[in-house]
Amino acid sequence: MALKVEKIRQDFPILTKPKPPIYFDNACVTMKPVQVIQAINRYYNEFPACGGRSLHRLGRMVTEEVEKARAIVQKFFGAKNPKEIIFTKNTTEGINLIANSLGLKAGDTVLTTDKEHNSNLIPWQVLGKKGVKHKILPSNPDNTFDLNGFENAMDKSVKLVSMVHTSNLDGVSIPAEEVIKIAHDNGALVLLDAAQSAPHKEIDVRKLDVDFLACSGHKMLGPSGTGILYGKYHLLEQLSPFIVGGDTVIDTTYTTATMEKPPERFEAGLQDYAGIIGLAEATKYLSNIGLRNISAHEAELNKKITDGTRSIAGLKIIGPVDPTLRSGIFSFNISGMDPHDIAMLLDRSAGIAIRSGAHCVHSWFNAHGMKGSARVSLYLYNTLSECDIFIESLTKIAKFIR
Amino acid sequence: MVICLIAAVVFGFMAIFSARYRGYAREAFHCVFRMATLRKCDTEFDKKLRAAIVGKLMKWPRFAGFVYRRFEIISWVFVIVFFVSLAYTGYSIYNLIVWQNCEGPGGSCVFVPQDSGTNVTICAYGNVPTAPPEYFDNNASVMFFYQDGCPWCAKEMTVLERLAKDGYRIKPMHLDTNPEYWTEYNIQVTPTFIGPDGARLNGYHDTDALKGFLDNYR
Repeated sequence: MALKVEKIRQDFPILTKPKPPIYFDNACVTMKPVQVIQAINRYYNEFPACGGRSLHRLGRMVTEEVEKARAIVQKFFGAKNPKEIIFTKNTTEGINLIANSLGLKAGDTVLTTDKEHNSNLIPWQVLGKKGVKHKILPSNPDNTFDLNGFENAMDKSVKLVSMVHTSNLDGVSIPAEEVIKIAHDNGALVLLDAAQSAPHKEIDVRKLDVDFLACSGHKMLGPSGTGILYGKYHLLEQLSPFIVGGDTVIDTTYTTATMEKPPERFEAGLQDYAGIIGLAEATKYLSNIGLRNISAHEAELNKKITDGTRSIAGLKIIGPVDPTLRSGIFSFNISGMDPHDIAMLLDRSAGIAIRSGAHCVHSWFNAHGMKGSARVSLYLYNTLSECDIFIESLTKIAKFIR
Repeated sequence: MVICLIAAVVFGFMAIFSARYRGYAREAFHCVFRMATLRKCDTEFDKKLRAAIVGKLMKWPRFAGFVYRRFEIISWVFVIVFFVSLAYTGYSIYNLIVWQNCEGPGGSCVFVPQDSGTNVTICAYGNVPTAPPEYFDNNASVMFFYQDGCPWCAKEMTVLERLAKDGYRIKPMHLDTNPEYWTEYNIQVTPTFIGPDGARLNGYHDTDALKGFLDNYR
């Protein structure tokens, strides 16, 4: 079903301004619909109290709303139990929680791809100082996932496969079901960095059989500083807490603490209740539109941009040329031009917002001797005419400015 | 690197008058400071500046491309022109204050036609005699030594104009047409008044002081 993009855009206040931005930086942060903004305001207007603690009416309202939010997110991901949903600040926190709580020991191996976001690279480097090995699986020359290579890389020492589901570098997705099956066959757990996949494609954690999945709310129309970590309940029960403090314990003495069960064990301190409620509203919004429809829309936009920029001399796409393999991401360089210059010129000349630089995947760019790239990342509210403007502006820049 | 230096100067100057440029000035100075301490500039301010300017010119893509490729040279040209203009403006303002005209001693007053008939060009606050002033009298007993382009002489003449209404007269002694007067009368400064008894009044004096001196010889 084709998206009614113009109707969707009416839900986003910034896109209804007289000269709205052409916002192509959705892999970083997405715009927020009025429904999410209203949900956040509802907390502050109607029950701005603390949840999970106070017994008064306002406190109970907060507790109920947070649990409602947890159930909504559970349904969004197809999880079995709302207690498998932990609210975090972002994907980074989710990955760090697993890295620091899983109990990896010296000699254990963590396997990642060669194009991980720093958030799924640095935790393993830090653990490396404690003797945990970090193995990196190279991608194919066109940046697609090397499934054969992955099978060969798996051995009994690999305790955790922690991989980016859809890369923020080039939009390429790993074949998650196959990866998880192979990993499980070898006795390894799987953590998926779903920061770029959860907002754009349907994910059923039970169908995938993934052990842990981390994503960010602000990349899926949710408020800034919100995130979700999913984990199979029996695995979460075995994790020691990452950050401890208020609400992570049932009881304490001066020398002991009785930890809460998940998810509270991993939600220390007062939470961002407004953010959590807004995040749940965002997942409802996406569910109503349908993630398959969103994926199809992004594919159409990406195809338009890929085809429209084919004639630009010196333009090189990062990743496979086939747009169907790149989700809604179009990452590129133009020979003789600094990607930052491209981004700044597009912004100043046509109001087009794209990202430039290393996209927090410095390791991949360093390994390939590159400084960075310019990246277009599309979403449900982008239009074909915006793509036309982008193509025209980029063509002009490449022709006259280089 | 050069662009940061140029930007620091230009935005630093503009920031004095407008808060809009203070952020740019700060970033440019930060860059210059890092360069001066032999470190790489970490803000890419020069690239941002270039992109900001060229981006606005993209309506004329060929021109934008020209500016983009020659940004450093164009910046140098603008900064040289800026400083030359600033220096010339400063010099002109100085002359206007001190010499009452923009070109300095011997220069012409832009508000006044040359040659008022006395070989004197006077730009005394807009009072421009086109005929010998009323207070000039070759038979007067008090001599008034003056020269062209002397702002205090011009100012004194406005006082003399006021006193002329009360009948005060002086004998004009123009030093430019009679340079021998410098040594003959031992003139050290202009304006100078010398009475018939040799008494001197050196430099500019206001109405009361000059009237007091001239009253000795009425």
